[in-house]
This record gives sequence, structure tokens and C-alpha cells, in this order.
Amino acid sequence: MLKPALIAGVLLGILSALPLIQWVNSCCCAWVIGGGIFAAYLYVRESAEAVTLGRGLALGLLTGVIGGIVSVLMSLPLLYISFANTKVLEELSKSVEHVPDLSPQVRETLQHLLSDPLRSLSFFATIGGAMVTVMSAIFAMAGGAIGVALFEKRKPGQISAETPPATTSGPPPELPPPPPSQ
Amino acid sequence: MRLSNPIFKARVFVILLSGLGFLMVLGAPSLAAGGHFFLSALVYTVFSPICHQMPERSFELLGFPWAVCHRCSGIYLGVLLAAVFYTAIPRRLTSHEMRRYWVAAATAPLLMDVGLTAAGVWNNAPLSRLCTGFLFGSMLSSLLVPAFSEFLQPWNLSRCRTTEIQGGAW
Repeated sequence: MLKPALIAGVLLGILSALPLIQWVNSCCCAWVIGGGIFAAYLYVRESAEAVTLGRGLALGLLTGVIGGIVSVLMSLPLLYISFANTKVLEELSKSVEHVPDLSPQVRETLQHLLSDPLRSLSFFATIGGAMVTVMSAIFAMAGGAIGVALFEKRKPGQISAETPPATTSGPPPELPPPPPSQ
Repeated sequence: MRLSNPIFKARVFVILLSGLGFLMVLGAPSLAAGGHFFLSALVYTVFSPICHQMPERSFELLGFPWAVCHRCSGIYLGVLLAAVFYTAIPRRLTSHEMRRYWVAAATAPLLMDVGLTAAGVWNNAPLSRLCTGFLFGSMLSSLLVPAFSEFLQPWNLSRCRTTEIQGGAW
């Protein structure tokens, strides 16, 4: 299960982090659901026995978590460039001042975070990363279930004809005749 | 007992999950209308990676847009209502033989609504976006309930571990 989840997860993570291409996720999390479907396709193809919807869900969960982590790691350089620009931080700090319903403690904490680029990067990467990973996991689970429903044609419990049986029963295969003695 | 029924447990889980999602969708504009802008912004931010949140493509509540667009609202509503009325979904639709056709039939209108609008052949409207999303969400729920019923069973984990030890596909 790890291999298809890894392949699909890395792919969806990269696609979800690339500028412009990541916009597809705004259409009902299409890359993430697609990643779950792709993982299910790979898993169904290599699985010896019929894959159930529950396994598709577990596969999607794994794919989504991997995809979320990859996406966050890929976004870090871009986030760093944005936060290295002090103007961005100043703008954010100003907007915090204008939020009317913020308690003084929260306002102070946020402004303290926004005063240092590295501190704000680590804060936003952690909070944003956790949020993206949870969302990816939920939507990729849905993708995993859809993928199994689409690609699994074998009935539950059915084993592929190409797979050799685990135990051999019946008479042993016939041996070739011994060479004639001289 | 109903609680020991795995399908019932899975339905409750899906209802809670999608209900929470839908509550958050409606919570963002309600909080903004109540003057809690920071909390409202947090909820809008949670949904920002998964929806474009264009105000002209979202429903309004108390003068503020919902946290997600028409189509995503339809999906969440579809998942929630289909889980509530799960017993009303024909078993034949979710049977092993039919489910791939059910997935295709429920996804095709959504894809056509998006694709034909992008091609300039058709102009989608709030109702078409909501309905196609709702159908997709209902299909999703009909798959998620049996999937979670299997996934949430404790014996399944031990079975998976055994399969792994024996060199299975898990």
C-alpha cells in the first residue's frame, strides 16, 4: 500500500504546491481527489486480491498525508521569499491592527510573530501545514473510495487469476523421463 | 443494538464530519455578521486551499458570502443529506457491479457543467452548480458510509496486520 500512496502522494503534493497549477485545487480539491483516485488505480492494479472500499479509504488517507507534507515542504521556499520581504510582514502587521474584535493578547502575540521573518515563517508553515495535511487526508480518502469503486472489477474476496496459489495441492507435477543408461 | 451496527456507526461518523463542515461553511458569514471578524477570517482561511470562494459564485448569509462556492456547498449538503437518508438510496446503485456506473453517472453532470462552461457552450447558474455538486456529494456519501463501516471496525486493523506479516497486499 505504501508504494502507490507514495507515488500518488508525491505527485499530488508537487501539483498542489506549484504556482498557478495549484489553482486546480480550488475546484473542489481536484488535485487531492485525483491523487486519491490515482493511488487507488495503482493499488488495484498491483493487488492480488480484490480491494475493498475500506482499503481505498485507508490508501487515500495515507496518500493525502504524504501529499500534504510534500506540498508544505515544496511551498516553504516560496513562503520564505514572501516573508523575507519586510513589506509583506509590515502589511500583515498593519492589517492585524485593523481587526476590531481581536483581544489585546492575541493582537500582541500576532504582532510579535510578524516582527521576525523566520518566526512568522515557522508559525505559518506549522499551522498552515497542519491544516493542509488534514484537508488533503480527508479529500484524498474520498478519492481513494471513488478510485476503488471505479477500478476494482473483482468481487470482494476474489483473487486474480494471474496470481499463483499460496499452497499447492493435488498430485506433484510429472518429472521428465531419466536419460537412458549406457 | 443499532450502535453495534457498523453501517449505523459509519453513518453517524459521516453525518458528524459533513455536518461539522457544513456548520463551518455557514459559521463564517454568521461570525462576520456578528462582528467576530477574526474568527470568521480563520474559518474562511480553513476553506481557502480547497475552494476559490468567489463571492459572485457563493451563496450569501446575513450579507456575507458562505465559506465555499455553490458547487462545494452542494457537495457538503449532498454528503450530509445522503448520509442522513442513507437507507433511501437504492442498494442496487452501490452494489459491486453497479457502483462504477453510479460514480460515472453522478460525476458526469458536474464535469459537463464545468467543461461546457469553459468551452463557452453553456453558461452554468447557481442552481446548476448546486445540483451537480449535490449529486456528486450524494454519490460520495453512498461510497463513504460502507467504506467507513469497514474502516472503523477494530478487527480490520488486526486483519490487515496479519495480511502484512504474511506478505499480503495491505
